[in-house]
Amino acid sequence: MLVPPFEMHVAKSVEDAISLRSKFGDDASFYCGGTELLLVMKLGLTDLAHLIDIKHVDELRSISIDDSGIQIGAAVTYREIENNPLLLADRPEFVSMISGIANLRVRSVGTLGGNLAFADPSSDPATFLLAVNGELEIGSADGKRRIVPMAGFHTGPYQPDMRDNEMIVSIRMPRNPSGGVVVHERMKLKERPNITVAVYASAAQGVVTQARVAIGSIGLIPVRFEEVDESLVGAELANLDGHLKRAATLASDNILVFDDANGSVEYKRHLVDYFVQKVARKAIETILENSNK
Amino acid sequence: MSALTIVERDTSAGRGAVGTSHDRIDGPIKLSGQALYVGDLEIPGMLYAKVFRSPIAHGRITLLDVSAAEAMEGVVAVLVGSDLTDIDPFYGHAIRDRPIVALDRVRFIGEPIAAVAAKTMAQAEAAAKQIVVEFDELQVAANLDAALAVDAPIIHDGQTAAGFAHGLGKMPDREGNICYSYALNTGDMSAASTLNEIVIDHEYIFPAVYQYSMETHAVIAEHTGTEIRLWANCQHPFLVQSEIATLFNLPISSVRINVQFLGGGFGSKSYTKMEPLAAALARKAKKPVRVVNEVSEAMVTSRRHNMKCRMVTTAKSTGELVSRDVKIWLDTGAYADNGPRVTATAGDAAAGPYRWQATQVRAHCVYTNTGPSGSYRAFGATHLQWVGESQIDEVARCAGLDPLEMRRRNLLRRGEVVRVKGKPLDADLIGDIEKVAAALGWGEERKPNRGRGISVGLLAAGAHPVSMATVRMDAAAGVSVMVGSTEMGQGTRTVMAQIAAQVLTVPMSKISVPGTDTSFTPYDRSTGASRSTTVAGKAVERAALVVRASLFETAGQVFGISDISKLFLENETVTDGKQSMTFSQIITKRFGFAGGELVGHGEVKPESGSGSYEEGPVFWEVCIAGAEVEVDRNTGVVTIVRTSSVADVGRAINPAQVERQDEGATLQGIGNAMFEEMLYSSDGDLMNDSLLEYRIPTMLDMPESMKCIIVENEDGPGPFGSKGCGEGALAAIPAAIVNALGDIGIDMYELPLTPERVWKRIQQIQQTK
Repeated sequence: MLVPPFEMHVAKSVEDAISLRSKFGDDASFYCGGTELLLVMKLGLTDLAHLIDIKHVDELRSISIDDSGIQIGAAVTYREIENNPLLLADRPEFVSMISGIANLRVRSVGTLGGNLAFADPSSDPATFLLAVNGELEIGSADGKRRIVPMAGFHTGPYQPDMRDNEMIVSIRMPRNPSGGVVVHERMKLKERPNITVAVYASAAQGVVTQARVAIGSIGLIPVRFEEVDESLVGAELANLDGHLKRAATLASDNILVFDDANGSVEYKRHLVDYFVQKVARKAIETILENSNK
Repeated sequence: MSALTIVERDTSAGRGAVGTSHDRIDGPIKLSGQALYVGDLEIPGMLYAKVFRSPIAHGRITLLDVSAAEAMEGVVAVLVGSDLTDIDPFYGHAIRDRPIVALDRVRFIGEPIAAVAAKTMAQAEAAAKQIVVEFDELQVAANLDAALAVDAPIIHDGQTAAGFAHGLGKMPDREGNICYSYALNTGDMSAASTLNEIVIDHEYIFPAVYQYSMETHAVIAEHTGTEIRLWANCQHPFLVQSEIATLFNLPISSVRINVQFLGGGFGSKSYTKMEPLAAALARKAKKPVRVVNEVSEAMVTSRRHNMKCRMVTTAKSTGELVSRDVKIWLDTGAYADNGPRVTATAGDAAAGPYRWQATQVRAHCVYTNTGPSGSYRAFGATHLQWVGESQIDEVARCAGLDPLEMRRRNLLRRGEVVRVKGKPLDADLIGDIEKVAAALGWGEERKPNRGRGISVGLLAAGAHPVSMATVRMDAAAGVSVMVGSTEMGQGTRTVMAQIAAQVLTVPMSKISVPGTDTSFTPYDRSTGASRSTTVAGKAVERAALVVRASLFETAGQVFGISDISKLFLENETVTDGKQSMTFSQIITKRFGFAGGELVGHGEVKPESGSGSYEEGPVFWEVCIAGAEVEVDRNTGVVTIVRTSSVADVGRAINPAQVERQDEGATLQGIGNAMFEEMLYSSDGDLMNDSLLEYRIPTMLDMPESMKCIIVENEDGPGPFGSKGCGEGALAAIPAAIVNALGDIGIDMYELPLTPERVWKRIQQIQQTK
């Protein structure tokens, strides 16, 4: 099917983009990498008369790393993240996760902001950001900016928590805190991942002090469960197996999954159990070995 | 022409074109983007078509209103069933069961009901959305079980009519939704049953699979009233020509088909697909019309049959095979397409190339309310080889035999009967499987969670052996080879050029092999069944020999030699060892000026009998491969570590192309075994009709090592002792993978081997321990 005809507007600034969006309302969408949007348009799932090109807005294209943390413009491509030496030095596991997304052609044009705004249930970045307490800077029509946590930003599949005429301006995450470890792993059987698990852990004196387990690409949205995170606190090498088992059981019991072409509920719960144990073990063993040094 | 003496003698003393891995002659034009495919062509005045397809799987059409569509801007014609009352609108080479567009009833989701021709594609799409249709819905049978149930809806009622290329004897009466059955019996089953000491009995499931060629079906049609022209990407232009001529009541020669390059076929473009609809729409529009399927449309135009099979293999406790009893049900979708032939080929492959006391095979082709199933690379054999070979391995395990030793003891030898009345075994299977096992490191120690498997089978290859070719040598000794084999990426043009180059000692750079234009290219039955090199290639060799005879004739006269057997060719010259003349000089001498050409025609036809399926095949294609796999027991993910395959080709005209064929077939076999599965809902909706949800193998799924062993016993019926290849590995790889899992205790009875299926089987096996 052909993409129906549409008009393209090139925005010069965030404010310009938002005012164009306000002008055309639901008949318009922001357009950047187009790796999701054009597919949706080609499939006839949406019929947009106006696209607002935000690829040339400087503010959306920058990456900065300073004492306040890491800030990545919403229109920065995956490829630009992969090729950024500062990010690689500070957050190698983040860069490595980005390198595993789709393929080179998609990464060359696809953007981090686009991924989070589209809110596909199979999002590696959303799951990762959930584990590292990532945040989003949202711009709105009144010129104000607000900062929202990644946790809660996706309220359902393809449902980002944004009001009309808002847009993601940047994505923020803390710099790699000393002593903290993040491990990210996923299993991909088709075009998109079937499960993504990212675990952050920190420790002191050989004991886990904090853990965050994010599970994505298997339910409707990436999720974290407080009781799973808490069940890992207090773990040490000697009693690790028990903590991991408990965390995995809690995660697989709590996760909301459905039978579909990607697998049965039974298999999906098993994958959650297996990957939570596997990824959390890797994160905790690494952090405990580091804290014993 | 008849005065020419054709000398059939060794021509391998030439330039050595045959047996060298010459670069693809169509490589540069494809790599530079200059090769034109049907979708690239613009015919003056051409319209664009959008097909309006059925949204329901089974129902009677109670209302079809296209008036709003006809009134849309740019729309020239809208084709509906009532436009076809002046012709018999049914087609189907095996069974004439399919109307060009739905007449009063639809039988699958995606069945064409109408087609819009408009000045632009956007106008055609917009108009198609205005078509109104209403149905009386009928009960849907979207899978084999539903179609075979006692209370199943009957998908086709009325008389069964054989198609023009049915080729499988008398059409049986239809029985419920079974449109064709094939039976084989050897020996005495009840007598054999007294010998049974080992009995293996399971039910197996093979999924529906899409051929997934890069290019979808595309055709441009023009109908002038007395002539039809088609630019199509069909694999078998001459069969389509014949079928279109019959449909539209025209002489065969008044249908002209042009086929240049295909972006892959794999069987999806074999026989007639979108051509009748395009021709009928062009007839109504009185202008050329282009029809191009989207991927989701192509997936309901052709696919591989899904299958249910029950197989019982028995043996003595020593591992000596006794009997095999097989029941097969193949889901051909809503229309037969090539289903009957697939059913017969599956039946032929069921027993496997073993010595039995008795066998009994019953294969059934079943209508369902899903997209039609047709040809797919190595059909029938791929369906059955993994079933039969996994039972051979189970017998071996019961008998305490190594799988390789099991096969050494039971495999047929050269010259033994494969199928009663058919061609005896024409290959050394034991020699081949030893090579495949050795390449896999058969005796070496296995790492944990790694298994190895081998498999062997035969595929009836060659189809009906009728091909013609013309070879023309111009006054500058350039050669064109006119042959109807379709270039669909397999490299047939290069091979045909090499055959002519070998016979005529002309460099490859002076040989051209154009695409097919049925007005000029002589008849070739089809491109498929691994037949082009063997059958069409033989016709090219014979045509080239006629040109050579003409060169000898004139050279003999100039040299004053009456015994032309003393002449031979060498580097574009004819010589008797003392005097020589270049080809150009000979042609100038023959015609009195630097013009004219030498034309040779070659023909292949059945050497005896009628060439029927029953008497065949032309040759048995050897399907032998091995695989080593590693399983992750936590997730069920299976990784193919390495594979090996045998290309038993008699003589490799182009060894590199033989290897590429085996590698492609291996990867496609991995797709069939591991990932690919068309998922239909119970109401007949194909749920994974895009690459997002339909998983095909990618470069990342390539095994660490893929070894192709070329076996050249010069025992084929093709030119220089060659026989075809390209399908064997596809049939053999899924079986080798299944056997490799069996090797580590994970017997699988359903494909594809998705991680969930393997994981569940592991749980099941652990629970029963």
